[in-house]
Amino acid sequence: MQSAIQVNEVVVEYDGRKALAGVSLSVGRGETVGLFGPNGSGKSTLLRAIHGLVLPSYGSIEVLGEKLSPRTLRFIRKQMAYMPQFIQIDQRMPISALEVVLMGRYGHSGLFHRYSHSDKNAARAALEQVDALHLANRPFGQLSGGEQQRISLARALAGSPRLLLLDEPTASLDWRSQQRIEKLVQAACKLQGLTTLIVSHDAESLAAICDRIIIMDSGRIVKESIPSRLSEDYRNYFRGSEAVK
Amino acid sequence: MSWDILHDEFMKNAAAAALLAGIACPLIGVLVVTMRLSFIGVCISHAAFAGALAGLAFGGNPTLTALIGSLIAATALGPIADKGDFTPDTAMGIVFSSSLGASFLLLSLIPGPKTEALGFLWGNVLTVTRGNIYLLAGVAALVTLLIAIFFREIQGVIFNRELALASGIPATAIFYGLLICSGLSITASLNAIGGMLVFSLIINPAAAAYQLTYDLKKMFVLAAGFGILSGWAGLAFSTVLNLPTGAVIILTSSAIFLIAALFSPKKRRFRPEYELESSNTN
Repeated sequence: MQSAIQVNEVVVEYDGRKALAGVSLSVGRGETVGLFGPNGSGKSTLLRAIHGLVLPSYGSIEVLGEKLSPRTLRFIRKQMAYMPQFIQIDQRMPISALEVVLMGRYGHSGLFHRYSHSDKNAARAALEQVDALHLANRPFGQLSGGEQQRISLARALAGSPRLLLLDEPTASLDWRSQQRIEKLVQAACKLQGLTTLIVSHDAESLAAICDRIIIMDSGRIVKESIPSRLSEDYRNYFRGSEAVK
Repeated sequence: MSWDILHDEFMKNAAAAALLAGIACPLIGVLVVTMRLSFIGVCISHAAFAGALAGLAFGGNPTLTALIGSLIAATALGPIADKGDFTPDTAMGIVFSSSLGASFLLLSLIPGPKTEALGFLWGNVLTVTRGNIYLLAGVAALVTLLIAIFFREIQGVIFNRELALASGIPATAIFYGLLICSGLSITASLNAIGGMLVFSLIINPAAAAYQLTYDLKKMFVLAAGFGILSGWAGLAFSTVLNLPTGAVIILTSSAIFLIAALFSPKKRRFRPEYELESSNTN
């Protein structure tokens, strides 16, 4: 399978501490891969490094055949969308749901341009895809957590990405909202043939969506698993590592 | 009081200065209030004051040195916050205390009476010169133009700086641009409003507008409107009642904020649940 993401021996350091300690990973085109592990294991840092939000001190990252560098970053970011964890904003923030989704089209228009009709149509189509068109003109800060995450997913999808990077998309959501986001992500991946990388603490959620799951610990990839074996593999690894300690 | 005063040159200049400062400062205020960087005005205005004092102490042009002071503070704030492992609030605290220390030191170096120096602290809209008005007009036009051109980018940065960056918006450049525009607006308003009071003209009209709308474009327009209203009403009240103009402008802007907060539709919407429950049972 042709790889969409190729991570080679990547090291990322914060204050001299290695958040990623030589991670290598390959994600095939159209594949949905989960990143699973305890807090501080480097899952989100890996996602942020692939999106170019943090710079590796060593190693290289290739996305869709292009090596990630300041020169290629703009092109690569046009091809991928990043959905962060639940964003805390002031309930009175003057921005509507539609304006948030339009941000996802920024890469297509760029500096000194206004959003065109096709941008607005794409944003509305993305809202429809996540069943949130009726929320378009509502202030974003007034929406419930689940609604805000659906809008964030619409923002990610509005740019017609080939790659989707999701960082804890269902964290701090109730069970019903979690289920809804999972189904929407699955449907979008299938419909658009997206390559997707999902960070989550929720084994059940990852098992439901992903083709395979990477287990991380202390900035390293320690095990690769499949949905049906994730809980067992995770338990076995940590039982083993506790025994070593 | 004779209405002939309205035809006097100094009154025309004062009205023009109040109009232009009333536009430039609240526009910056919208960014400051929505990004929760309220301390930024205090911080940069004290750096501008220190710059003006340096000009007076060493025989330079105080407006030019104030501009240099405010730009140094504005351009220092971003990197300190971004690279120095500090939050923006801590970075602003460092720049603020350094500016305050430099101001006291420079004040002691100015020989003779300190009237001109203190004028930069309190400001006087009635003594502004044509040169001050041209500077204010240039800055107000520049800030308005930049906001119109980069509205989408500004909106993205206000919403979430990292997400804006992830969407391809040059969020860091926009953030630094905001800091520099704050420095320019504060310096240009220094003679008219004063380093001490300009902070209120940045925050109050923008905070009042924030109470009334969920639309960022409307918020910019409302903030500028409240700024102009504060400037002109303050100028009129101070002339009629023979009170210090800068102080009356600021108190007028505070009154506008209080009225906006009292009648805010957002306030009604966000009444705590326990209050709603108790009002339902009554």
